[in-house]
Amino acid sequence: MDSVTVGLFLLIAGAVLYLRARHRLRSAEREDAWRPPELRGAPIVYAEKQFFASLPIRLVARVDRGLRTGRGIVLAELKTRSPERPYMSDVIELSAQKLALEESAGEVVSRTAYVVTQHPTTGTRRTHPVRLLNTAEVIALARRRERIIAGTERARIAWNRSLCRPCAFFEQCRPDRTAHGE
Amino acid sequence: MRRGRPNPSPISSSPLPLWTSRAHSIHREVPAHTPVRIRLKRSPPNAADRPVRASDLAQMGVCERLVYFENRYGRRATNAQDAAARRGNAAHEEFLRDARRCEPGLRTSGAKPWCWIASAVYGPTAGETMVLRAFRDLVLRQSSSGRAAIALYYRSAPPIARALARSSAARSLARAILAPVVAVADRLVRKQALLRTRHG
Repeated sequence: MDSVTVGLFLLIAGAVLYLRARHRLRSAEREDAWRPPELRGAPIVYAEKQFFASLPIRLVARVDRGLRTGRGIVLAELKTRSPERPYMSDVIELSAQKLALEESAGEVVSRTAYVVTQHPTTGTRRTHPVRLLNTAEVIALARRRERIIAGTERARIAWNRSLCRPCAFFEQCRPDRTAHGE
Repeated sequence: MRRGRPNPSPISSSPLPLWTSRAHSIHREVPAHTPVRIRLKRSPPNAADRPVRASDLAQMGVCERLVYFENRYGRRATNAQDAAARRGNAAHEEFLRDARRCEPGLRTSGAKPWCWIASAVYGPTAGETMVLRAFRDLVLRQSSSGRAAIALYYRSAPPIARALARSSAARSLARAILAPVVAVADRLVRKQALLRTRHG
């Protein structure tokens, strides 16, 4: 092997190592950027991990991020949207994740979780702490969902009526002909 | 521009609840200004017995009527919603990449291969696929012979899944063959979950 080949090999290896280190550094920076001070340095224990609970309700939940802290596992959920605020649906999703994680992995999960909103165009992230529902509330919601699907419970219209016009089921639902909240 | 039509066939015979607009049943066309894509997701007869996904439960916080309609007629998405979902998926991939780089030894469900055949036959998020995934994670993964079976499955399943994706007759046949397998897997998963709960 001549010196040119060795040099070329070393150059490529160096470039690969440099790029890997740079990617790792950028990932660490991005990770630090969304974390609130209380989560800085907390190890990631779950990422895109699916959990399955069967009691008292059958539930499948995929955890975006689970961080181990002194008060148990803290959950974080990434959402790509322009109104940079958490919604009730985020709280429900995280609460269901908490229930599934507690049952299938036996972990203690903190009732405070975080919704990380990422702006769709700028990519900037903001973190919002949310208080999760308790187990009884999640179960009650799941039972209500079952009744709505079965048609035995009256389903409520979205409180935010701006969601109705672009909805693909607008014609079947006709929320404009229904009293608010029914 | 409309990209799809509502499929009028997958409607159960049960009567509509009083709060739905009978005058605007699913048989009517969706207005042309609402581009929709039908993702066939007919609710199976025993939908109440299937595990509910956290994201589906979260829909209760958006609109309860949407929960009902999607279960009855299948999921629909406008072009804008499709684009938003693609953006969301890309953001999640980056979020996961960051986690893997920060914690190199991290094990994720995202890193595991899909349930190839079940995804091809039932769809990647169908209840049956979830049952088989749970069977893989809760039952098979617990023993060395089970792990060997998973490894064998991952090697042999992708070409079978590709063949199934091409033929609807093959999918129907596979569905008939898999039905008892799913039923047994479901029973074993429930048993395993119950044992885990008892043993804390």
